[in-house]
Amino acid sequence: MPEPTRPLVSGATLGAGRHGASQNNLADTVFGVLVWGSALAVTAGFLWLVGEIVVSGFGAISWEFLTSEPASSGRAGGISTILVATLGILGICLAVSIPLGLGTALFLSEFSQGENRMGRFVRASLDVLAGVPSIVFGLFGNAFFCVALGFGFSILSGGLTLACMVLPILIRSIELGLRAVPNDYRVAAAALDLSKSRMIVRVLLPAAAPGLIAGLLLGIGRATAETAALIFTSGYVDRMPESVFDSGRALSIHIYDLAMNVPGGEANAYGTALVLVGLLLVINFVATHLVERFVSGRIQSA
Amino acid sequence: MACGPVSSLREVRAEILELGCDTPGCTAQRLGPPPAGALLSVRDVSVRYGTKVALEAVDLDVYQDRVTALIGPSGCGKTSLLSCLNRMTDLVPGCTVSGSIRFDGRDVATEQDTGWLRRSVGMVFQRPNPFPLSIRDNIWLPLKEHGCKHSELAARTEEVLTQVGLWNEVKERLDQPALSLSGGQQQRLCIARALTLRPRLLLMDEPCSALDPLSTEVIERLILDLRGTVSIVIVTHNLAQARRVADDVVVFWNHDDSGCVIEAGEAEAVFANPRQPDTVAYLSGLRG
Repeated sequence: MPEPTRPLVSGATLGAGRHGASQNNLADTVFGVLVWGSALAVTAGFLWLVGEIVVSGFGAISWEFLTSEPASSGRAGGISTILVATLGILGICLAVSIPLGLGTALFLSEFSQGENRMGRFVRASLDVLAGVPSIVFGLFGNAFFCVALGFGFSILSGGLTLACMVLPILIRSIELGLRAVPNDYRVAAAALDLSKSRMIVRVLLPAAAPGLIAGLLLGIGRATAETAALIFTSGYVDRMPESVFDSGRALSIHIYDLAMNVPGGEANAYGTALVLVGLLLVINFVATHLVERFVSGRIQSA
Repeated sequence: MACGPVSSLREVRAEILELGCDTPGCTAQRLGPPPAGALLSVRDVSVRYGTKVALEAVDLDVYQDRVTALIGPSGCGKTSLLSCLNRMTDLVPGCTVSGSIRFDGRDVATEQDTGWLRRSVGMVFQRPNPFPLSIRDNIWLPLKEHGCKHSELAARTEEVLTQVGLWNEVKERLDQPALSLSGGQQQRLCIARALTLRPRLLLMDEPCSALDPLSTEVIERLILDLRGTVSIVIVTHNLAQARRVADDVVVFWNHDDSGCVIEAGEAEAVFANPRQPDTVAYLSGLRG
């Protein structure tokens, strides 16, 4: 079996026999080493990080760990309440941000013809929002949802704050997905006198599905990994939440707390980190898989 | 230098090659009031994109149950004219249309009910553009939108797919994605989709330019079969195709960067006996 293509070798072969071949060889070698080096460095960093989490966290994982409540500030026991709170926060975040994001993205791509003033204004606001640090979102969420609206430290406040934070990325990627749909479909629908709503629901959204799911995944990833914005809004009570008005501790905050504030909490911190990474991987895998099946059923030849 | 009416190819070739004849420009025939038999009458229509004039002062008539071919070199406004006829120009920002277009006794330009217009005037595009749905849903979508009863859906689907000669090819796999069909089949599906609304006039914008010769032949035969069921206006670059399918032809030409009509009439007459020097040159392959 031939080895996979190695730039270093082919570069050397190309340079050989030409004028100034040795200089070319040297330059190509240096260049090749740099390119390969950076790729290896990044991969190594990633592997080290994941490896560390898996090796140190695997021992903590058990069915028991996932289903029992934390005890002794999280040193002992499991993370059931944390999982419930995390899913609650994520659920509220998505329930609010998906419809709002989809609506705004549809406005930007289908209803603001050309570059009108409203469209430009919405885009500029989103760019500013996307650049706001998450700790500022946390303070805003605290002032607005917890205090002004009176939701207190609660899963609801946390979910709503995350929704604000996720919206800019979500809208941008949904809009890109919608714009990537060929104009042919819109024109064909108009020529058949299809209503805009039917065109959007039956033709545009299905055709844009891969882009929409990609945007959703980015949003979910961002929301699940968020810590700073949640400290001020959903709080870090680790009891089982009874409603969305109760405070609840998200996975990321649990990791932070165990690692920084609880001596002897490292083992469970690693276990929780492994659960968080695993959760993200599963969500990614399922969504990608769904999109592939959907796309092969609709768009490409079966 | 003015060019008088020319009768033979040799004469015009001599004028163009040896004497350097000026183009006579848009010496289009100005037509009178719409004749009684015309399904569609276009008078003095100009199309602008922003400040650019794409088409200037076009007059033409389209008759019931005939195939009218719009021919001429690229960029002379054939597609622009086609898009005016069902107001697809509304979708193009900055596009303005002036003049009068009468279809079926109603004024297209001021028609409030563009839905009626687009249902009566179907359109098929240059690139086949079936929706990324199943073959069946491509036909059902417009039918359902326009109130076809559920019990009639299957029959209407078979009817239009048979009309375009696709029924036997796809009846076993109506649930497969439309995009799994070949290019020619996709284009016939698009024609079937346009026919679902039983239009009186079908606009076709170079329907074969993205297809191979065999698929092109199938579509051309289909056009001839449809003649008598629906009136057709077809834009084509392919002179041989116009000769094969058209009853009437309208010749467009480019003058000072904007398009205009230089000659129109029954296909046989125009091909056999072109009156304008530019038409002669274009049809003989000397220009355009």
